[in-house]
Amino acid sequence: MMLNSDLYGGLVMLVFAAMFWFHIGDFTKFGLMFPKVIIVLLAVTGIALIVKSKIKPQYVESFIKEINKYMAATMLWSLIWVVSANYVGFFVASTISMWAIQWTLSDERNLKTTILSLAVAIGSVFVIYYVFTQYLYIFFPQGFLF
Amino acid sequence: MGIFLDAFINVLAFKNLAAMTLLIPLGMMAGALPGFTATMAVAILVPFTFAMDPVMGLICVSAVYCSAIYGGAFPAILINTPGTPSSIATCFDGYPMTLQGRAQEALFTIAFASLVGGFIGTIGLIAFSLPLAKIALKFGPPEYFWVSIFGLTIIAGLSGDSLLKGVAGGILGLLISTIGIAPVGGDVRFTFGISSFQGGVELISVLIGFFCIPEVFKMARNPVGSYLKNTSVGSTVEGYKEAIFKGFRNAFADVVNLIRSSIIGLFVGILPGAGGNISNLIAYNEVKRASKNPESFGKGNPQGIVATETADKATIMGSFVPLLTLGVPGSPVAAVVYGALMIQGLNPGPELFTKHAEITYTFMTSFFVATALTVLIGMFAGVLFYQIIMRLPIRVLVPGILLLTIVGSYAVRNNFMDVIFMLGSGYLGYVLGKLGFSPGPVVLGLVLGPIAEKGLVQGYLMGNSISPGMPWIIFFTRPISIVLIVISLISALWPFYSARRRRRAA
Repeated sequence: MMLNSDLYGGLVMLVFAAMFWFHIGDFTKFGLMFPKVIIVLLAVTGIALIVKSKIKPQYVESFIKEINKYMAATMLWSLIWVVSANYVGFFVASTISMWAIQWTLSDERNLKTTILSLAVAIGSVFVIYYVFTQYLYIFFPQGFLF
Repeated sequence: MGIFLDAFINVLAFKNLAAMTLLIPLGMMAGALPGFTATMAVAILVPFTFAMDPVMGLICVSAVYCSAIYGGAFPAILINTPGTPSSIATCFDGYPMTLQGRAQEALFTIAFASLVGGFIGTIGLIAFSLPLAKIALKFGPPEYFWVSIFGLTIIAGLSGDSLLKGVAGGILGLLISTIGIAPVGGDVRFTFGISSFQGGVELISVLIGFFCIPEVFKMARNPVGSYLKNTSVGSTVEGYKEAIFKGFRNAFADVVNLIRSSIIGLFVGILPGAGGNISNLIAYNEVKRASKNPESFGKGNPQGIVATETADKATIMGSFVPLLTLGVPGSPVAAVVYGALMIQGLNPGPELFTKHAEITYTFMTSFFVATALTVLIGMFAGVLFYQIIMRLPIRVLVPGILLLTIVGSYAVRNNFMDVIFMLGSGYLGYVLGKLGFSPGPVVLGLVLGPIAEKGLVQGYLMGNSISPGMPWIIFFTRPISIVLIVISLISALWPFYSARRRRRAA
């Protein structure tokens, strides 16, 4: 399936322009001067892209087809990792997510690879956690677990 | 002349060389970690320098700064992730070289280019500090506004196939840069109910999101085997010796590019508020514009990485010009060094060249040695980094890179919202990339947005106080502004002229 990239690109730009436009609050003249011009310019380029999509469209392969099960799983686990870190803590979220991504991407899944993946995950996260908290004084979210 | 000889002897003392050799690999590691900037590396080092004598402390600063900027190019070339904002444009041709099995060639090319950039930058720092600082001081808000407009004209060079999409991407970047507190007026804008956005969007998070995350997702699509096997499909991976030879040849194939990029880097570095994040993009655009074969850029043309790496090394030295000569810290690193100098009892400014001339010239001269040592160690470190990355199985590399990106974007402000924004930028970058939008213009807009806005609003206020009723006239009447307007116009119209010339020739 082919996508009209100008059309979708133009729509994305219009969505961003609208998002910012409707969030213009009670700004002072100086706070509004620059963003207002930029929002208008973004809307104009968005419209220009949509017009181009009708006159001289550029087509690209649909990227939905490109996303296979490995890629989708990685995208999903990344999201779970980032969102859960604030609740279960960075150490636990990172260890579980790293292990899960390795396990998902493995071509053979047996006890040996599972233990190896877990060891790599715990080892990597521990080194990062230790160096950052002990030497660089950068403390990660604790969460309710650790 | 005697003072320079003494300075060199000071720098080459065993304890100083040993300290530099020890710190350079650490600086490189810091630079290579996305999100861990050169400023952070220098800031961590500075408290340790308080216990040292001033000369050794400053030499350590120069070693860490040079090596951190150098290290930023490793992930840019190998995994399409700029380790520091100074390596943004290194991704454009460095990563395609990796995909062609030419990663080692790219790593050696940047080594030789960095050597030249560092040396020219240091010569500029020593020889032209005072006159250059005086020029930089003449830049007021209207000039900064035009500098940012000139910067934006390079969008054409970063746009990929569609200029219109490049322009739209650049404007989107400018718009994202307005999130947070307004530079003039103090309005809290476009936070969308998220309090963390009051401090604005962190450039590093967006950089990682737009450049690295889409590549990690693509890497995960085919998880069998190692990165080397998957990235160099259909290419012959060249050997170590061949790569050194090609790297040398690439770096010196276009001497004009080396000199031009160094001068761009040095000058942009001198301007307070501008830095390597801008100079590398401008240098990239200029080499592309000057090339007889501009369409080869973005597809693994080594001259692209020669330009960017030469410029960002020269920027390092440029950023110290206003600090040392006038006492004005023009960059975050210079601000950290400002504090270090004060604690050592050295007042930044003209006094450094009279009362403490020996220390100052030793510091300046140390950049020669720091550059040379960085390049020497960097050659081995680069190859080591390459070996590690390339041999790792994809299933380990993907979560490993994700871990580093999460830590990197969190570490900048200790804010997990930056991590969420990084991942969001990654998803957006992936979709926009598939729709034909290059990440370069978006990031360019984000870098230049604050400079443009501050220049515009402050210039307006200046204009209003000088000529009420005609506040905008100030933007068009000052001599440097006029020069910048002309340069911007030439830069904006050049792609059209160039395309027309090529059509005629064909």
